[in-house]
Amino acid sequence: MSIETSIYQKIKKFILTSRIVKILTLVIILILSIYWAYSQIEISVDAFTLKFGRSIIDGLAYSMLLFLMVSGFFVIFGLCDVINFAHGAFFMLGGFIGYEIYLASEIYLLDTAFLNNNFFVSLLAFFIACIGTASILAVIGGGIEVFTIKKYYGNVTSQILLTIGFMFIIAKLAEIIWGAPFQTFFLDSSSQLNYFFLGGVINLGTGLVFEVYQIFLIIFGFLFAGGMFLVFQKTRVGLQIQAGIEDAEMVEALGINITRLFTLVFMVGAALAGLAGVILVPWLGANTGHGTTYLIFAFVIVVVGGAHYGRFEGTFFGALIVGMSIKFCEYFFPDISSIIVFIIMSVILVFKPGGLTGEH
Amino acid sequence: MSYLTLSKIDKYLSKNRVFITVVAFLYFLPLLTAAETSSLRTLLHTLTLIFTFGILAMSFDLQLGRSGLLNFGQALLFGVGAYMFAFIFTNKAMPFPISLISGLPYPFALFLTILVGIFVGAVMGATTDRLRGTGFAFIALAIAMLVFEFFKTNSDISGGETGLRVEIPPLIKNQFTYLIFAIFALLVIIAFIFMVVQYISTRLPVNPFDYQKVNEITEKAEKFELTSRKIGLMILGLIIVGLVVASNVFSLFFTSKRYLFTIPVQYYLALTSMVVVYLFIQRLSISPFGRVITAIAQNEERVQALGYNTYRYKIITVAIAGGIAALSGALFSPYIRTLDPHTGLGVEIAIDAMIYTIVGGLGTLIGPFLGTGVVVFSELRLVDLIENIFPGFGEWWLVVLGVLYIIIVLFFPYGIVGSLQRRSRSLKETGRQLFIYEHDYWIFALIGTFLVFFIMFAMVS
Repeated sequence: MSIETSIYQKIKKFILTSRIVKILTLVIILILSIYWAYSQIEISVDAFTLKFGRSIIDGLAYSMLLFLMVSGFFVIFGLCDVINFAHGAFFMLGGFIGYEIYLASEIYLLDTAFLNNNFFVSLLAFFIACIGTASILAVIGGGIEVFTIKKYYGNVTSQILLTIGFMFIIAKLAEIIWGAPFQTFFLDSSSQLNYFFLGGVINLGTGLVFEVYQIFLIIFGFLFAGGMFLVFQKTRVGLQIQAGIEDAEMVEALGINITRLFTLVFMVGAALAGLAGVILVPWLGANTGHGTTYLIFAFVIVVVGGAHYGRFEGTFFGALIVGMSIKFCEYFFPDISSIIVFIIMSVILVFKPGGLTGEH
Repeated sequence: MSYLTLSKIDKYLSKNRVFITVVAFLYFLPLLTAAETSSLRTLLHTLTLIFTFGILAMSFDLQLGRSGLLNFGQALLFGVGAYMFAFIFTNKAMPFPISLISGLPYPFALFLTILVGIFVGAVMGATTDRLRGTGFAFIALAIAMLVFEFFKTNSDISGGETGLRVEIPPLIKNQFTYLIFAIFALLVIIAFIFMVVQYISTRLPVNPFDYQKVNEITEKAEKFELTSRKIGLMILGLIIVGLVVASNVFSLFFTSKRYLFTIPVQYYLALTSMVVVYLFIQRLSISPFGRVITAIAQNEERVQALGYNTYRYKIITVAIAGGIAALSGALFSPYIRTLDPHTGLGVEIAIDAMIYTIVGGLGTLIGPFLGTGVVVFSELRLVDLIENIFPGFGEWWLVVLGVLYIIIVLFFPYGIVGSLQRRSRSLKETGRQLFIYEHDYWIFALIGTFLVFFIMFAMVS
């Protein structure tokens, strides 16, 4: 048997057996069939359907965003047992760094006239912003871990104070540079082209209007979750991290350099926070107040998903539950939209004290 | 006063010299000023806030440091006290069930507030204490957030965004309350003088370089005698202090400006509450109950196996902490004068209480209070300090505070007091080599307190 056929068979086997592929296929078929049904029948969209459709798209996009951010918080909390209070600040900082990189690279690309098409200029600038922010935040996170937190594993109170200190520093520096939280920075209004490649709306007629960027977020989030799932299940580092979450001492005893793994996890966590920050900017803008708002969501989602010995899927479904419930309540019960998260969390914790996937 | 009680008092004083010194200093402070505006009054005002939040931090420490309960719902326990007081002393008309308690006399109000705090703590404990670790922390947070949202949305009871205006209770603006506190302060200072005289007559005749003899002082102190020399020294001390107190009280007593009494009386109330809470927690932590809750924090299964109902113990702990936190809220409410849901019930309060406790050191009794002092004072004064040294950089104060936290962690990983306690053996050894023994610590406590307050005074003015 040649190498090509063996790889071919592996891929075939993977496609046939993998849960992810099955779920993705199902989702794609579902979306296509809904779209087909929608195009066949002319429905008169009433207020309820309008609200419902909007809340589903909003909720899904929001949950994917939350998931992107919280996955970083989760790996740091799960593996290193560090409650990273600075995570919200990383997220907020990521948004601003991405914003600045996007604008700078857009100007540079326009100056060099390397690309004539606005779409590609914007796309490339956004791509550079994502990569650049993730790497800068990874360096910051890694630096914080190596120089301070590394010495205090096992001393929870010191870690809390350290991360709170970094949260204050980052938040205040950002406020000094970019101004108080009442000002929100948007990409398309402050860019030279006045254009963002995923801007605009999809109009499904009779008031059912979605932003293109939300659809992109949903697809990106699902792909990203799938990718992370594969990384956790199939790669060596992923398996090490997963095993480290369950029992770090045992992993160390098996001859894996756990200190290096901790540093790596911190870098990945901070990079994910930064990436989520950049992804947020075209939709909700960059704001110095985002740090604290999203930090509480991160806590809640991790607890709902399973904090102790929890699994990665728990965080995903936790984010989905939290994001969807927030947006549903914003449309249907605006009075309780700010506390629905806590109600849901209480209910889940009462019935499953360890969260969705964790142990008590 | 019989010989026996005098001897008992003497024994207590010679065992708690540092405590007596610091408390006497704090009680003496307001008697030094009778002026309408002075830097000392500003300092007193700041100290009142520090004491108030110090009580909150002690309540948090009782849960986290002694019983291992990370309570993110601390804001609710604090807010209950603050809002109870606001309801009682507001001039805004309240809806029916709340209107029943409006205008209650101050002591009853305080008592009722603490009772309600204990009740809310018990309810919170009963709903959450079966959970452990993060589960407990987050259900408590959820309860606090629900109440916060309730107050935020119902503006008829919380005053909405503008907040609820709290009138200063008449008792605080009363010169007789001030007089009572001044007399009490005098008593504390008499105790201090008693201790000093006792120290002088026993410690000084002993050769300070003879370790054996210095150790014998403790045994000597129990055989207490009132000699004429001691009485003479005491009378001398009393005359000096009495002159200061009397001149201060007389210059204030016949004034018609009632608002002059607000700051010192609030200071005395907060200080007295703090001392009471301190003694209470000190007593609690060495009682059988305190030992059981410490054991629960270390290993709950084993305590259950020994036949204790750990659930009940945890509920009682949260209830006691609730009472203490409510007391803190009750002191805070007339201090801040305008209470809105954010200052009274926001999550920030729980996080602040956690920061104070960690900076001072978990489970160290005096640590949370010191941590509160460091953090609150830097929050209030750091801007001016930075502005004085580097003009134009005042807005960097939060950055400096963050750096301060990191420095504290790097040098005191278990909090300021906690790390010092871990090194106490070697520190004591160093002291002994410098011929400083445990009997002499109060002198350094006095000098240290004086220096700290001098620096604070210089920064305030």
